[in-house]
Amino acid sequence: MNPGSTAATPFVHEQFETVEQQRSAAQLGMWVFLATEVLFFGGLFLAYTVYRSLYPQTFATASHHTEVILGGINTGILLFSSTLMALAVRAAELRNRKRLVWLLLGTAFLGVVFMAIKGIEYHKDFVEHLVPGSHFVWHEANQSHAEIFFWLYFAMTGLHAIHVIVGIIVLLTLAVLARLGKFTTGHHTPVEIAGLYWHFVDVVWIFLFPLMYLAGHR
Amino acid sequence: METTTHSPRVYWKTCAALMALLAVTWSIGYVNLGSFNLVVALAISISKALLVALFFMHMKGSSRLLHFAATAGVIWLLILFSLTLGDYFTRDRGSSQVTPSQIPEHFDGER
Repeated sequence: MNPGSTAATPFVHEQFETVEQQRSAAQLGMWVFLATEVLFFGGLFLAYTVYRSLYPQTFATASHHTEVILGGINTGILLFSSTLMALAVRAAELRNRKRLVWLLLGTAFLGVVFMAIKGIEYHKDFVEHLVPGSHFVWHEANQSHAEIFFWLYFAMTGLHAIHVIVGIIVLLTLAVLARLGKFTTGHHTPVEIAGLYWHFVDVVWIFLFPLMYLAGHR
Repeated sequence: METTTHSPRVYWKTCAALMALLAVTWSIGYVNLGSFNLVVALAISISKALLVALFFMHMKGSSRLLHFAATAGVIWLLILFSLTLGDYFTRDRGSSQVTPSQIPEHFDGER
């Protein structure tokens, strides 16, 4: 690349010819990462599938002990946060700095609300002795199978929660950088890439909700 | 200005569709459809995931290379599931050995 075009496009790293090329490389990188994430969560979904097929009755009973109202509200919160995230990417592309900052903060805030509700849920589960281990108390049939359900419940929602926390940190960082005007001068790729990650975390929860909270009708 | 994102109207419509599908999943959880509960729940989840991928993640209108990368993740997931479940569901078929699926639900001891 000649020095003249570098001055015109200050966001382009030296290994790329154009902003567009850099952007598609970043998108491809994120999608490849998300494919590995699909398999990361996939292993747990597979374990769930195997054990649910072995112990369908116990999984249905155990699922009734989860907090379906809180889980359902949390699903709605994540879906809404994804909508705000999509609008944030648009705001960045249209170089609307103020709107971008607020949308990023709004998305992060909904993530925090999600985590708060998840915390209330985990507290309830803990008080009700549903955490697998020596304190696990089960008054119905097949305690060890119910324990497997709750092991998967905590492992899968826990891994998801870690992803949400990472997402919140990324969004808040982006909000600060957006406030400084980093993404509204023709370089909004970081917002777009973070958006892909946030939507992926949403998709994982879309599957977790019916599998964890609605296994077997209530 | 030419944009790669959609108009806000598209995002709000997607949001409304997702919320409607959530309501359906939630209410169907209280109806006894037997094993169809799971089928319906998964069908709705897949539809929601597709809506998110197509409109929020801009799979609609993005390059073939990205379609390929996104599909690759799903294909490898299917390989993971089909090979493992193919083993679990067919192991020891026809032999006198007890398979995990033959252990009764009420069995609660050590194996």
